[in-house]
Amino acid sequence: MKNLIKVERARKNITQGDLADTLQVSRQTIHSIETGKFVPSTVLALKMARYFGCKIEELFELEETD
Amino acid sequence: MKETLNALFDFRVRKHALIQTVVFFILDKLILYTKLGNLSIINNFYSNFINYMVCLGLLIAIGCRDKIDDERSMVIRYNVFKSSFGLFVIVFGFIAISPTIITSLSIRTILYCIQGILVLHLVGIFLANRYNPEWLLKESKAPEFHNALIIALIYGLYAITAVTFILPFFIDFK
Repeated sequence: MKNLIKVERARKNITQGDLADTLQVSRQTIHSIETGKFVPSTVLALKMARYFGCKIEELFELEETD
Repeated sequence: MKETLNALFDFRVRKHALIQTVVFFILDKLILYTKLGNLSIINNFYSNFINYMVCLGLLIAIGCRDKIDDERSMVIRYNVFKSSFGLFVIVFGFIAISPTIITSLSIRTILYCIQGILVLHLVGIFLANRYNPEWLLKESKAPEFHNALIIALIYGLYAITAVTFILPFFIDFK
């Protein structure tokens, strides 16, 4: 699954740590989601979408292999 | 009750549990390799008690949550547990089906095996938290042949156990 978290984060000019603090997860979790190693739960994905002010489909995108 | 258990497995407890483990481990080695071990009362009771305390310390350290206990750390703990439990089943399955091993093993050796698995579990959690391995975090389904392999392994163990117990009735090993 592809995601645009890094892009959205750069747009908002915030670090992984800032985002982690806001979403009450660890910085490692944000890093592993950004690199595509970890697929977040629906709740966390929705929280991210709400934080960035976009739809969840804009933030996460399914790949052919998924 | 729930609050007490939550407090027991708080992330701050882990450090103390590990200190307890190290202290009792050193104590065990002192009893083993010094004259202290020659005292029969220490040899029989305390050495086992000390090893139980090492196991307890490791179990508490494993149960402790991370400072930020989110879904990733829970997935890591669950997947590392699955691997460690598999290792536990293999080790003790091997011990159980080998009559020569199971009769010659002391409680101390069994406790050492358990401690080894618990230490590997702790190291596994630490490394997985540090390096986020993809194969551990990604959801996956084992291929069909893996399931068949495991079922064959389980029935193989049953067969070996059955043969081990039935053979002495038909063959005189003396």
